[in-house]
Amino acid sequence: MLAIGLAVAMVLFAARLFYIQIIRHDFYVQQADSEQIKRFVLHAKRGEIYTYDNGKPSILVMNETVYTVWADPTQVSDKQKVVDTINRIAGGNTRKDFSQYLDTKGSRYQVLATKVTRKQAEMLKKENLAGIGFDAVTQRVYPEGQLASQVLGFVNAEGNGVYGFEQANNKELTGTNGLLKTVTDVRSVPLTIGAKNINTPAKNGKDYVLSIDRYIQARVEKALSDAIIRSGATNASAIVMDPSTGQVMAMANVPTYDPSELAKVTDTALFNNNVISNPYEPGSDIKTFTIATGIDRGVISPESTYNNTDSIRVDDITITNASKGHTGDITMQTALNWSLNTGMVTVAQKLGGGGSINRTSRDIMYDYFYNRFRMGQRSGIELSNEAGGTIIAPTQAQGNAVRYSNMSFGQGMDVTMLQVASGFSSIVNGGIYRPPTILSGVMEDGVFKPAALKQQFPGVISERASATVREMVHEAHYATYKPHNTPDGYFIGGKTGTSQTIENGKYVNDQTIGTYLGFGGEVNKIPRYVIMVEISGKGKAMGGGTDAKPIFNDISDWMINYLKLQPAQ
Amino acid sequence: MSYTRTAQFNSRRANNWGRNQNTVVFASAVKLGPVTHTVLIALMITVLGLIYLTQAVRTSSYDYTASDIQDKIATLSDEKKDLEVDNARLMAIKEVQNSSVAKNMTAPTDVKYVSQ
Repeated sequence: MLAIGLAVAMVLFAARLFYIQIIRHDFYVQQADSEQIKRFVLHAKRGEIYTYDNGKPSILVMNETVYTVWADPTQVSDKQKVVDTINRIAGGNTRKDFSQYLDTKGSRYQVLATKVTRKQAEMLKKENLAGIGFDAVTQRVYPEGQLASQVLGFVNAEGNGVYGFEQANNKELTGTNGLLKTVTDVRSVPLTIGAKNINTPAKNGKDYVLSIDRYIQARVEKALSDAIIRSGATNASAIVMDPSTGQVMAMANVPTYDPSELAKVTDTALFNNNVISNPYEPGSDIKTFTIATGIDRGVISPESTYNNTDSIRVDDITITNASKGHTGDITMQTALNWSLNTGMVTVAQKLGGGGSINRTSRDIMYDYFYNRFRMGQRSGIELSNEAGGTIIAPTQAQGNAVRYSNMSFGQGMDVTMLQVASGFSSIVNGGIYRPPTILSGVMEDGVFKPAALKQQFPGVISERASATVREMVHEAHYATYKPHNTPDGYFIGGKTGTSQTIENGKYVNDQTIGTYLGFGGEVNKIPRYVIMVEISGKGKAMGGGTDAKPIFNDISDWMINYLKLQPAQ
Repeated sequence: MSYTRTAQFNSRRANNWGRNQNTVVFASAVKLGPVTHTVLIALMITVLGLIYLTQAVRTSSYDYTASDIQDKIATLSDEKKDLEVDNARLMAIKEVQNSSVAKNMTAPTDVKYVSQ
């Protein structure tokens, strides 16, 4: 009987087990999984950003874990102790009058302090304050403060890059989150048992090395700030490039902002990088481009002469010189030195073979300005919000002789400083257009890996024409507004620009933008740097020679020492 | 002195077994019934289950060790990062410019260049 009883019991157990394990298998597996298996997101670390200081990467943007301290007012038992402790340990990070939030009714989450460091958070945790919690937050850290902030951009509350390099390279900087799906115990400790565990590691964002040199960047920002104080202007911008590589060594705008104190920014225009985002009429800087075009086409030389009467007629308009009195048969070098509009219009006429700016001369100018020097189009630099600008083609109705006569001295076209500096680099470096870049490479496991070179475009102008223009611009640099402190033995060149601004569709004479475009280096060598400077202000008449050139000289003189350039004996 | 046989041996010689073959077979007097068999099997299953659980618990204990080590690595990594941030802040240009060492520096008055 016992055996039969046991057998019956066994059969019942077996039947029940069959029901549970076979028929209801999926249900119980699902229930078990939901209780035992947990999913953890493995957060990818946002890539950090470095500068490249004389061949050595230095950190510029880092990540740091900070904590938000919050309170559940319903659980706080000793309010005074909480207030005293937080004030003692994290007094500088608290919300204003944070004690009032401990009395909030109907809320279980009140933020008391933000951006509390890990050390502070650990000290607070040791106090075992009832009702106090901590949220870990990753934030960007800027050890250099506001340095290059408009180049960098920033990261918003959602973790996305906004403006600058952060926005343009957001995907690569962000990386890809990983996933840990695993059986856990009651304390959520992952256990290795279980065949369904998934561990996909996070792929961290790329660590980029910019071509910005932080020492040059800091010096440029200081030069701009000093100039604003000196001149009374409100805005100044500058770019420093290596003409042999197209790499941007510094790019700055003043006023600027501190990306770690975004809450203090009241004018969002400060986020803009005017060097790349603000097309303007470049003015007389472009005369170097017109001269380069004329020399490369063989229609002029530095010694070519023309009869200057301080005015020249193009169709139904008369173009005059700003600097008057250099009349008679003068050379193109003199025209460049004194920035004479009539000389540039003459070059444009000669491109067409004679006395007018015909379709041939316009086609040639467009080919050089747009196709070769690549003005009026985006360069593809690795920064967000780059503007294209405008160069009117001769095929358009507005691309007439008057337009192109104005373009020969930098009016009637909208370009960015980056485009002008890049095109000028190709003029002085032997005639190779190198697309501008802000990138030097990446850091991989702490080792610098240089970025691949961008495609180059040789033959923009001939090497011979490039050498000739370098000499002409060098002479122009010393012809007017002579620099006083630049040491001898170096090869410096530059051209002033004073651009009228347009208000309500009309040129305004008492509000001008001062610019200076130049290069520097050793004698008989390709220049080591190209600098472009712009200074302006609402209602301010800023001059290229009086206001922009001193900034150029300030930066250029410093660059000579920083790059350890060798003076000619 | 007399001996009592407690085991029973059945001679196989009677069955005409060949040379060099065992001719004695042991037959236990103890007989196991179905209940005993069932209990023994249940016991064996229990023992095997206990062995499995022992091993599983031992594996899990390694998980806790690994988890503790991971926590320590994370803490050390955080501390390292804090130090890196502090280092970067101390090495910032403005910080260096304002240092007492930099303030005591003087500009060179006579610079000579040599060809490399």
